[in-house]
Amino acid sequence: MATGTIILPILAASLDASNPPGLDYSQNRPKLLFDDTTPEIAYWVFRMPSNYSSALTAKIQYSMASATANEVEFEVSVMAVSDGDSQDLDSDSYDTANSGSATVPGTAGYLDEISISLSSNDSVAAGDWCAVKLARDADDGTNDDATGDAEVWAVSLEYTLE
Amino acid sequence: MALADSKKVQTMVNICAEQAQIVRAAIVKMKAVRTVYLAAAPAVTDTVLDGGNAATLSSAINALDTLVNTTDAAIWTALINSYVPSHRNQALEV
Repeated sequence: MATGTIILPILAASLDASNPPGLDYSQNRPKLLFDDTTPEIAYWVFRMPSNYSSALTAKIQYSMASATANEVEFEVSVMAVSDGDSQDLDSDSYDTANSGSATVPGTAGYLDEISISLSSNDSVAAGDWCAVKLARDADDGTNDDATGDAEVWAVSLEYTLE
Repeated sequence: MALADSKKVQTMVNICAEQAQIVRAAIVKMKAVRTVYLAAAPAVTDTVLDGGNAATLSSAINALDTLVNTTDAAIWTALINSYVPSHRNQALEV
């Protein structure tokens, strides 16, 4: 079945006012640095394409600043608002966070990808105004035990086309 | 939810590594100033180094140097080599 992709550019992210990830560059390429102790958060907003059907999935490409062992976990939350919904956009109404973890690459700086099925997606539909929240689950003692920053290089959403 | 033990360990390692480097740098500086002091051979009468305290201080510097750079050098060096710059030492409250 055909899939669509929504690119969530690193430089288009809004960074949380209280716990933002660091924004850094390597060779002029931007990356978000997620701390290993404090859960830090980045946000994106967009209009869900009209060809969206189902199976929304987040793809997070990351490397570790220094860790070569243990796991890192990210959480992705979705807020979707349809035309006419009784939802004040000045308030949050994110669905339950979806999480995904992976053992980090054995070499610092090497790329890995975590795919997270966004089953809790606030019943998103084509044409909805959407907000996506990405956080490292840094205070999860079991699924996030890699030390040092996680460097997020690219974030996208994939979905099944209508 | 509790933080992973690996992060608490890293905070211990990082903070000790930072302080270990300070201690090692301090020993280097104390030994350097001692060399210059001995060359200058100043009179110590009525100073804190009077009464054999210059020799006591010199022995103390030597003892510290031996402890940090010989006896326990392996663990100090291991800590310094295990320092992770992007870990911000917040996993333990000090």
